[in-house]
Amino acid sequence: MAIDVAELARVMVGAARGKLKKQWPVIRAYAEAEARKTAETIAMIETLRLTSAISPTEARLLLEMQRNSAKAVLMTVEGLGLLAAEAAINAAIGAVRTTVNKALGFTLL
Amino acid sequence: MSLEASLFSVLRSQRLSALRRFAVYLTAVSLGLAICGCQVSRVSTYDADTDRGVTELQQYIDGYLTTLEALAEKPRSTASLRQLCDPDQFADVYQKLNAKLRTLTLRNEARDRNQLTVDQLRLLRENLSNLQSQQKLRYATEASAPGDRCLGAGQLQVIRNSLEQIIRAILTLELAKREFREGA
Repeated sequence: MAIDVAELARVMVGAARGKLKKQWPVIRAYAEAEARKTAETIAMIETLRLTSAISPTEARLLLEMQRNSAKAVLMTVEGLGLLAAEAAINAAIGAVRTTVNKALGFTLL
Repeated sequence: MSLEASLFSVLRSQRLSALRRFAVYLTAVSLGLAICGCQVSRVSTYDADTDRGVTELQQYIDGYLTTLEALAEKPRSTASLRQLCDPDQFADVYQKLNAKLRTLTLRNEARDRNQLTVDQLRLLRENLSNLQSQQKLRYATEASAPGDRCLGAGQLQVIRNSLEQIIRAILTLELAKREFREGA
């Protein structure tokens, strides 16, 4: 049995899109919520400094902490993106596994 | 010429739509990856010990911050604050935190494709060291009342936000390693 590349591609794209559609909102919600929290925390540091509740050195240390936290959030967003891409590709492979293996006559996928 | 390059060459010559090109590209890449090993993975697997370890660390940090917040709420004139806010009082807290973090970092360094989590643990350690520096700095500052040597409530709120954000980032990624792969 010959492999129908166009049909195979259609099935794979459908499976990949399904995974991304489910996981992308999770990544977006996380990134948006954390960005908002970062902005709020930076505003708090500004208020503390303007009211002289903290010294300039303390303000700098607090900003360093917040910068580290923002970096950690971006690393998580990167990781979530990699995991989503991985899941999409694996879903695409899974969607055509039976068809391809049957057409080839041995277990490739 | 690779399989991907050949396919793209054919597709360009046939002037197919972008979507169709993407579809065939995905097919080619997936088949190529499949031949290499069937499952694609660029991030480490989920680790229950890391999940548990970071959660325990979070509980410990939360307890410590609650202690500091309670000190910040006392009247600034309270004489005992001079001793209670002395950074030396908390040396053992940092020793325990650093030991727990070192154990977690070592475990995660040994795991394959896990640089993101290792880097996040390093950032958490930097922030805890930063907290200790702020305590020392505040305690050494000229103070008119004993309580002025303690970290303030607003300052502690910012510190709490930053530490919780890092811990949440580490846990979110660790849990996603399991959840994004469920049913895969």
